[in-house]
Amino acid sequence: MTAEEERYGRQERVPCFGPGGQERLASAALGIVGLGALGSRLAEDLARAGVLRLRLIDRDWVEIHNLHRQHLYGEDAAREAVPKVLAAAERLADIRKDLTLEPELADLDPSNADRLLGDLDLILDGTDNFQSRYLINDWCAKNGVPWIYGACVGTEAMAAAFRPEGPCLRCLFPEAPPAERNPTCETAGILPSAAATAASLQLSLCLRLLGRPEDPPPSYLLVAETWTPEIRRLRFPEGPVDTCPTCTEGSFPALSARLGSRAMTLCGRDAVQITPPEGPPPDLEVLASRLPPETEAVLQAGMLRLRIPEGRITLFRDGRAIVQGTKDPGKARALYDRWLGT
Amino acid sequence: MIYLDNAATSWPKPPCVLEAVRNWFERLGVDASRGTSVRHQEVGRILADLRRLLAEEHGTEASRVILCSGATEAANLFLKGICRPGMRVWTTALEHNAVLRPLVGLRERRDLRLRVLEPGPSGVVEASDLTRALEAGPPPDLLVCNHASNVSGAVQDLAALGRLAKEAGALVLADVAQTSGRLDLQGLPVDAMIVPGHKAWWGPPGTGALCLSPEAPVPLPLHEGGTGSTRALDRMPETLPEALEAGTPNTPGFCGWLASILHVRREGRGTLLARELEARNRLWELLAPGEEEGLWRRTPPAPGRPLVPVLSLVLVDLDPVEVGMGLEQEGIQVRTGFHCAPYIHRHLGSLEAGTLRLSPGTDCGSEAMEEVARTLETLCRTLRD
Repeated sequence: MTAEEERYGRQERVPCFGPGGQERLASAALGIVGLGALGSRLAEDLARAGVLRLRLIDRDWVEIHNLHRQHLYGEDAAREAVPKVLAAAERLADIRKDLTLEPELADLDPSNADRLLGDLDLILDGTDNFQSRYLINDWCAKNGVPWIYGACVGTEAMAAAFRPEGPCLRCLFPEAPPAERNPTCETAGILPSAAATAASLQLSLCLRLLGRPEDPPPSYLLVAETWTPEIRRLRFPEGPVDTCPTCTEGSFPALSARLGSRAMTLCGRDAVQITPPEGPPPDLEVLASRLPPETEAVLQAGMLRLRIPEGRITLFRDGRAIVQGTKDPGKARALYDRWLGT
Repeated sequence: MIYLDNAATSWPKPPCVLEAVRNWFERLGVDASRGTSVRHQEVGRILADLRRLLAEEHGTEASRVILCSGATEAANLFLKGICRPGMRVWTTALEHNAVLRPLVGLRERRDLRLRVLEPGPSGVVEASDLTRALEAGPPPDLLVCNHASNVSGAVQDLAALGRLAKEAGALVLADVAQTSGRLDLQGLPVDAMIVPGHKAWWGPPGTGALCLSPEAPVPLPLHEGGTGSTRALDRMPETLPEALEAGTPNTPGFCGWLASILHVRREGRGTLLARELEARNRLWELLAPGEEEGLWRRTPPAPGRPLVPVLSLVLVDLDPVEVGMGLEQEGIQVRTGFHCAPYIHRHLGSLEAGTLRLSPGTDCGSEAMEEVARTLETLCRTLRD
């Protein structure tokens, strides 16, 4: 018995995966965008399952409120605000010494997507916002790479596999839901069980897509309600939807810089102004009612103002915001996404 | 929309400016001195007229009007082309980064000895301040001096400051960005002025000029390259203005600028300024109660000096950025922050977050100013609760 057989024998013994699946897993290069609850768990599981090349993309840093649900990070990393990709890489390297890790401390955007997502066989979504997902979707559709969507909030988990032949994310969701109908982990909370379920469903789809390319998973959006508990399968449309610009016209809106969220540093105090991508303006009243009480959110004079641990966010009717408490546009954008969703 | 950011760039531009720019794109399409066609000649006449008018306004000869992309390029051209290593340069704390950054860069690269004169209680550097400084030690080789602060609107006595500096043997570079097109600049005792086209002249952005006085030394070129004339030469021509103008000029912009200068002359410089100042003065009055209430402090003009339509509020316990965006939501466009003038804020008490600047244009009626004051008061009160 070789060392590989000894290590992975128990998963090779599962008939639908088998030694062939293991081989294909070992030869694949995978990317994970976002190393939060989903991404950190996927990274660990994939490293354990025998993936040998893993690219980790995230620009966030570890914080104490991550630790209840995110793998790979501990109190030291939170205290020192270590970038997640670096904290993760250190732990992952310990799981398998010859694992090739490519940590990328970066915010995925249209201008760096080719560099960050290039040369990968499959991409896993660990992001927390629709804007990034459309970007992954469009890049993958354009470059013929499969990707696996995942999301979790509250007690709910979702996952789906998207293959280049379609349908794609835009076929299912032509537009991002408005911010006020899109709860975030900050506003609606998150149980680790929901995160674990979403990541497990993603992992399962990933193992099947990679391990059994001749028998890909059927096109379902998996929706798990972990408290009830209950898993529903929502069938995708059979093929690409007629009105999907990506599948029918080969147009990739998220790859054009115009639609990217722009962050702009201000002169003045520790503050960054965020201009959201084009779209309907947020409903400030609904947003205000959804924010937890400790934010002391007030809606007055047409501005929604909330306190956050880092400082303050002021959201204006047209969706622009001032994030106070940082000079770093990337951090400001992350705070905006975290509290106000996208 | 009530537009109160004319100190940055005036808006909306007079229709004749758009027409002139459009005319270039639709009908002319060529640069002067890059050919001999009728169209080249027409463009040549436009540029000649532009230089002639600018020369007249700034008290110099047409050939000594160097067309630039703006006052910033004009400042860089003069300072980098004149300052020798080790030169003593004095400037004031009212300056804009258009001159300060080149000066600080030259201090690092050419060992310039830079001294910043601080304003007194009047908010400007007075002639007496400069006299004292001159008596205290060796005079500067160059004085770089703002005419009006783009933050507070305070106007310095350029005639007196320039005369003192020149008597002491210094060259004088004046930044007239906020006064050119508003105040009479002929006969000022300065060697050069940096002039933007897109502020009080109502021209398009991307236009400006360095106006060298008839006696001023000619700086070394900032750019070297094609000039259209004397084509066979492999070095820059020595004649002005070609010696300092290389590369394809912003001809459509200059066409628009000429049209805007003609517009200002037609309407009357004094008439336009009076309309701007009416709005500025109305604002000044309307904002007094807010100052008494402790919401803000207004930046006062320099006593006994002319006014320009620029006014800042130093907000008390509020970030101007937030208030500015709140105003924008109500259809009022102002400018917040430091306005690219880093030093003046230590005198205005606005070092932390800058100011909220109000710079009305020629079409801001009294009612609009009342709306601005009302909205400002409501916003500041609400945000401070």
